[in-house]
Amino acid sequence: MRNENIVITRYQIGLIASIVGAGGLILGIVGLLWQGSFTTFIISALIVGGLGTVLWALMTPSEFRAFIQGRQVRQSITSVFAALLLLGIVILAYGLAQRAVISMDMTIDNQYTLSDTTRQILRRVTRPMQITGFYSPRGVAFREIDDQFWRQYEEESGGLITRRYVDPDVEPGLRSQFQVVNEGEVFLSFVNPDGSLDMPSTQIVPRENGQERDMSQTISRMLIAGSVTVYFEVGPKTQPSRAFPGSTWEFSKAASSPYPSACPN
Amino acid sequence: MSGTWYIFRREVIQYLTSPLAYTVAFAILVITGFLFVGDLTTALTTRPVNAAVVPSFLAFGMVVFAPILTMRLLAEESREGTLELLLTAPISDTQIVLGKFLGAWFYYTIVLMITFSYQIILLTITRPDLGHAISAYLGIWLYGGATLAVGMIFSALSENQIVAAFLTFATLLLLWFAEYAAQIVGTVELAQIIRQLTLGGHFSSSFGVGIVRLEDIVYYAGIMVVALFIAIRMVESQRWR
Repeated sequence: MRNENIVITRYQIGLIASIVGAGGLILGIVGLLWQGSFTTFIISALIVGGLGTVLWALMTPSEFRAFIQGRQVRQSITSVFAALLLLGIVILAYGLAQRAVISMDMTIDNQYTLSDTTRQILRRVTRPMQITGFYSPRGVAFREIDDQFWRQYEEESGGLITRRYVDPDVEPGLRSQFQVVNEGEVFLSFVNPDGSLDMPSTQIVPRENGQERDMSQTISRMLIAGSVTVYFEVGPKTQPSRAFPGSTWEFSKAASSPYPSACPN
Repeated sequence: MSGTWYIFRREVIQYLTSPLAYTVAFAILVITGFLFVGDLTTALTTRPVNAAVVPSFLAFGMVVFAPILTMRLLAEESREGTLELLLTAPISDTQIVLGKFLGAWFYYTIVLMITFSYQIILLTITRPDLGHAISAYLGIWLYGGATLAVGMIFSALSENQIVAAFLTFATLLLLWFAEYAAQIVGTVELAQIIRQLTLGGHFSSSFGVGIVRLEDIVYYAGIMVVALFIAIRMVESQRWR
């Protein structure tokens, strides 16, 4: 049986130490950036990184010096910084493009653009309303598509309609208040002058005919629910109710009731 | 510019004379053909035809096809030693990388244009939503450009074509699955950030449904610019040794 001696050179130790050192320092710096404070793990990683680097410098001083002073390293560092700078510029441009909200609806029947009928309905909105959508992380993609509509409602109504998104898992109180059953349910409510929601006016937006039609129909229903002019037949002619002050009937709808109830003013 | 044009022309000729490129085109056309016919048959009398069926498939397909199309671009030159010759020629590293990238993108564009013939077939049968189709094709064209640019990085990184292809595939797969991974994270904010980083997140709910958004164009253009810059620096690093 041959007796093979295992030889460990200074170079090998230096190489392992450099890898350990680099790994420790990277872990420590990334951890620090991520958590924003010195935890036991981060301090340990930085100590290991520092010890590894020192060991590397001691075992192979010429390699270490070459690394620090070498042309290749200088070029690499310049490249890394240049790449980071370029990445920063790209992220900035992306952020600006995202804020600008410039989009074009290419569909043949303008599926993602509000129709004239919807615009007419929105012109009748005089009281602030809020669109409340319930989306968990699972529904982020749906939220993005829906938001492209709700954003237009906000813009077209001149800010009278606002939108709010709630994660039902994070805010279970709101979830039970709105009686949310399924992911992606959307509600429409009037907003009181003090900024709170007028919960009895809340209506669920059905998901039947596409986002625009469903939302516009709900807004329309809520506007009608506010005040309805009723015409009475008096004698041989039909007279408008305004001829009889105080004869306007109001329909109000409780959130729990599926049908509107009528009550005299 | 003439250097870029020279490299571009050389790459296009190589693609058009390479059996691998034809195999990729064949695979894309067979799969998309089946998908088109399948969607047409299902849609009959039940719903309008999906104008984005081919681009939606390619959104995943490019995870597989982009590594095959880009793996040889720089890795082969490096392995055969012809990259050194190129580096000594009177053309810059930028021109080399740009020319090769544009060649690959041009080849991909040709294949994409062939699949657009499905829309022309549809025109003879029904009234397809051409606007939606154009939006989806524009999106997948940019998406393809971004995946090819990512492939250029790994082709410049490795001398081995298989390694380059595998690394590109792994990266693109990660970028693809991150869209689904976003759905299982704890908060909506984090899910949105992850989604904004993914390639598919900028296609499925915008180009894929018929909306062209500036932010998505900037995202894909940004990926291409950053990836090509890294590839250029990697080629340039050959001179540092």
